[in-house]
Parts: sequence; structure tokens; C-alpha cells
Amino acid sequence: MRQLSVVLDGRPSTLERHPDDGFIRADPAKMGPATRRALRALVLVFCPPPPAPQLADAEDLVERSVLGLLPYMTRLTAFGFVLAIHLLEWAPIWRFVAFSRLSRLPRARAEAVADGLSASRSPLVRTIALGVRGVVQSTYYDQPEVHAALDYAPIPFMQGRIALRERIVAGGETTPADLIGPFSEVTR
Amino acid sequence: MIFEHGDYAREHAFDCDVVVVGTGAGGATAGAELAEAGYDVVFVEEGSWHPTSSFSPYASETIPRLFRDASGTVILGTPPIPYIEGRCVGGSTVLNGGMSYRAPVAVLDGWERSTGAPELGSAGMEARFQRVEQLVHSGPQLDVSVGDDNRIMALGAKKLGWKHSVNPRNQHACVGSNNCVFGCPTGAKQSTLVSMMPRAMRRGARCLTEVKVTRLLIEQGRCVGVVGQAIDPRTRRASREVVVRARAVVVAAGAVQTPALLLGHKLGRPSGQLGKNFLCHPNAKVLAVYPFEVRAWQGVSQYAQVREFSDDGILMAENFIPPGALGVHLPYCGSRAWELMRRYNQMVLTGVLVEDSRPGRVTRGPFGMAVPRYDITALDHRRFLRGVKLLARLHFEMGAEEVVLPFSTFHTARSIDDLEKIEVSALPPKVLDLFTVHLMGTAAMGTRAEASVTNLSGELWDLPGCYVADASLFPTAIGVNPQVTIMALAMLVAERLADTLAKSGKVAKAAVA
Repeated sequence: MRQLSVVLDGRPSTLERHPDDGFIRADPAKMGPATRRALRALVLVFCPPPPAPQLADAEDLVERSVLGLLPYMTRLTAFGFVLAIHLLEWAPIWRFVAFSRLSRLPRARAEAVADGLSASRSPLVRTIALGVRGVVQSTYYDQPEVHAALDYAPIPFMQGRIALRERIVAGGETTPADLIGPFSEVTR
Repeated sequence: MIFEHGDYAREHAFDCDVVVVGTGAGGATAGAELAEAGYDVVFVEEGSWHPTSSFSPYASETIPRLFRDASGTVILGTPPIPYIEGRCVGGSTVLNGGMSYRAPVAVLDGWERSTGAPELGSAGMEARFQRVEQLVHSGPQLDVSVGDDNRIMALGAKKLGWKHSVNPRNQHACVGSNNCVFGCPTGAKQSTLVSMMPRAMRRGARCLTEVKVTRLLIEQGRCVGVVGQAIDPRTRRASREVVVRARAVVVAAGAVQTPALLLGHKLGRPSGQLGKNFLCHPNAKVLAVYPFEVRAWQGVSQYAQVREFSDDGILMAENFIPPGALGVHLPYCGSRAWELMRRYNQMVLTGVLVEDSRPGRVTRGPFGMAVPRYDITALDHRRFLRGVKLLARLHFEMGAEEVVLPFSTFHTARSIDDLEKIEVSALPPKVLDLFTVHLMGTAAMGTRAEASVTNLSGELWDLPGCYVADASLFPTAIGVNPQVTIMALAMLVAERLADTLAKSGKVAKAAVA
């Protein structure tokens, strides 16, 4: 039971990836070996090849992410998600483009098949493709190595903003140095 | 006091004056007003309590904490429309862009005409809007919060001679950390987590978190409480029944979950309108890539809107998101996705919002889950194509190299000439990639029982003691961000409920104390 003083505490964020706010994460969902194999195979297709950063543990990361998200979905949605993993892995066959699983195709060909699914005129096919791919890509683009390669550094920026807001709320004045950008001649 | 799953082993039956289901814009506002009027209020919230200090820009940590169904929510129809809703204390106000628009005068006066209720007209709502705006610090942004993506939108609109208006936002000293969608890390955005809920808690309100309300408690034809299931945080399964008995029940679970709960009791008579009139302001994303640095992740989201076409039901705005969230929306995978994403610092993410022209419907599906359904009309389809074309044109006028379009069969435009391919015949509704966060209208309020679901107090026509206080009450779409209008209507419901409770002869417990 949280006391009133804790509830009303308006401290700014510590910006930690795993904040200690007492939240208990759900136990990871269980996944059969066939689904697990299919998911791990899809990770290799959906995550970009070099020169993009290569995560040593990409398959483990995505698997943990998917297993961590499934318990928060409704049973039907979670079932649909698992089904979509298999449908994607077997997409070359039911799309009549190759007699092979997606993960067994050469990389460029597999990417083309996957991109073809998201360019489909059928909303159902698109939904199948985008749901699973979305989770894989969201996990990949959420990693610090990838952030560094994108030159995306939100933590120091946000720390600076938190300090600025505290100064403003305390009655301090803003200065030109507090402005964001401009970063180009177009916006200058 | 905040209760969590572990607390229900000791205490799982509660009594109060008013139980409020949901802590978003409607629920938290109604609850805060009632608590300040001296009533003993208990909130029941399905999600957990996450303080400002826990918010971060990381998608993998934020999505299961704050988003309903880990963001796996979709409106069925042509095309299917993914939507997001908050499932946490503060509800969707924790995740939204913090826009602070009143429903337009024409909309409110239309509500007044259609219902015959002056309370819903612009004059009747004025005092409540003013009070809401004061409570959530509605106002323009500080200059230090504005980034280059917003400057590009402003310059582009100016170049084309389009009307461009600075948004009023519910914020207190926002400095543009650009994390609205994952929870404001500075505490500047005045979500109900930091505005209305603390007001209620200071007056002794209790908040039961991690409890999903599964049914209403109805005795002798009157709603006298709710029954919920405490959700075990580890297994995500129902672990214990929690019962809250009250003199009145306020349902404010949002325009999708509210009708699903009420439909479980076959309510909504005599009109049969419960779950119908579902409105969702669908929007389409337009992602522009510029040949220069923009760093759109620095600076406030949705500083302003292009309102040149608002009379035609089309709004445009920027709305940048972290890479972990943008990764979900990419039209490509693997190397092509990287080819796009490596220019993350050169991107401007914008959207076209279209006002609904025909409503959809929410029904109750398997396991009691809410099933929203919505098909866009031919008019909305034309509006989307026009809006996307216009917005892409703005980006090309400002020098964009490439614009990623929300059409599954036409992903990329590289010049203004390419935009000529955007035609109704070539791009049918089913190839549109849409998205929404504004869900409204499934339990419309009105003055006639045969045409609405609740009366002007928000009380269901066919269940005394049960009130609705969220976006479900909207009789029509409003064409702008709905938070302030939801709050104003929730105030109306709270005022009338307080009057009713006072007239029932029992003095508010807190007032006695």
C-alpha cells in the first residue's frame, strides 16, 4: 500500500531503463519450440545486416521482448500473434513465391518477401506482417548500440531539460543557450 | 492511498460514496471534483501506478507498463486501425500529446440543438472549460521547448499561405523533452497522474490499482457498486475478487471499455444506442526525410497545427516519437528499414487527422473483450488522400528528399510530381495505413431516452445509480483533441451527481469528518 506522501511525490524521472517503482513484470509467456525457432529465424530477416549495428544477442533480446509482452495482451491477441509468427515463417509458400520457409531464403529475397507482405492490398496480410515485424524492429531500434549509431542520445538531452525546468519552476530566467537548435540554415 | 495487488489479500471489500472506474481524463476529473465536494471516493484502475520518476524513452520497458494490451489493440474494419490507450493511473492522459483544445463552438452548439440542452452548448460549457484549463495549466509553450520539426512545419505553412496555429497544451513549464508518448519525464505535462489524481488523493480518495472491473453490482434495479478481479502481476491472471459498494458508480473506462462493461449487463435501453456512435478521429502518418539535421527528438511534440483545412475536417501536425516506437511503423524491414532509419536525425514525423463522417460500433466479444469496428467512408477516404497529398507537398516545399506515405501500395514519394499518383481510384480505403488515439461517443448523453444512452447527468437511462463520465458521452465527433472536453463533461457529471447525493439526505462522509 503506497502512502499519500509517495503518491504525491512529483520527482522528475531518473531516466533509467529499468526504473525501480515497485512494478512487478509479468513472468515471460511460454512458447513452444517450433514457435521459438520460427521467431528466432524471423529476427535474422527483420533486423538489418551490416553496416547497421549487429547485436550479439539480438535473437535472445527479441525473444525475451516477445515473451514479456504476450502476457499483457488479451488471450485472443496473444494467440493471433503466435499464429502470425508461423504464418510469416511460411509466407513464401502461401504467397506462392518460393517453396521454402522465409528464414531459409537468401537474405535479400527474404526481405523482399517480407516487404511484399507489408505492401499487400489485403489488410489482414498486412496486419499479420506488421504486428510481428513491429515488435522485432521496435526491440532492435530500442537498444543503446543502435541509438549510438543513429546519434540519438535522449538521456543527456532529457537530463538537461529536467534541470532547465527545475530552474524555471524555481523562478529562474531562460537564456538563448536554452533554445533547441536551430540545427540547419533552413530553420535558422 | 494507493492499493496494489498484494494489498487485496488483507482487504478486498470496500465501501464508499462513489466508486469511479478508470483514472483517465474523465474518471480522475469526476473523482477529484467529488472528493473535493466532500465525498468518499474510491477509484478502481486496471493498470498500475507509475510515478513521473519512472518514465523513460525506452519502448520495451514502457509499453507493457503503460499501454493497454501492450499496444496490441486494433479497430476492425476497412482498413483495420491500430489504436493506443493507457492502462495505468492517469490512463491515456499519460500517453497523449497534451493538447488542450475545447470542442469547437459549432460542435457544442450543434450538441445544444440536437439535444435541446443549453448545458452542452458553448455558453453552457464555458465556465467548466475555464475551470479545466486553469486546473491543467492550459496555455502555449515556452519558446525554449520548440524544436526544428515544428519550425519546419511553421515555415512550410507560411510558404504555402496556410493557417498555422500554436496549440494550447496542458503543461506547466514544458521544456520539450519530447517523451509525451512514453510519459512526461519532467512532470510538466499535466496528465491526470499529476493534476487531478493528487487533488483527489489529498482529499482522502483511495485508488485500487491492478483491478479489472468485470461487472456492476445491481440490487433492486439500482447500481450499488462494482465487482472486479485483482490481477496477479506475475501471472496476469485474476487472483482475487474485489468488491466496492457505493451510493453511486461512475464508469469512465474510455469509449471502448465502458460500453463493453455495460453491454455485459445488456444495458443501453430503450435506445439500443450503447456501443453505437463510435467515433475515432483516424489519422495517417506522413514521414519526411530532409537533407539536413532536424533532430526532431529534441523539442515539444505537437507545438502547433496546420488548420487551413479544418473546415473540411482535416488537421495536420507534427508528432515525433523515439526510434523504438518508430520502428513499429516502418514500411520496410532489414536493410531497407535501416537505410531509412539511419537518417533518424533528418526525419520529421507528421500526421493528418480526419474528423469522422460516420460512426462505427463497439460490441462485446469472446471472454468479454471489447470489439471496436469502424469503416472509413468515401468522404473520409477522399479527405485522407487530400490531406496526405497536401502535407507531403509542404514537406517537399521545405526541401524534403523523400516522403514516406501511409499507403501499403505506394510507400515513397521522392518529388512533388510523385504526389500526382495519389488518386482515389489507385489507392482504395483498404490500402490506407491509419492509426488513432481519440476514441469517443459510445454512450452518448442526451435529453431523450429513445435517442441516447445517458441523461444530462451522465446517468444511464435504464440503470439508476450508474453514471458515465468519459469520451463515451460525446454525441458527435469534435474534430479536435478531446481531453479538455472530456474533463469538462466529467465536471458536469460530477456536479450533478454531487447534487443528487446531497438531495438523497446523506451528508458527505468527509464533510462530517
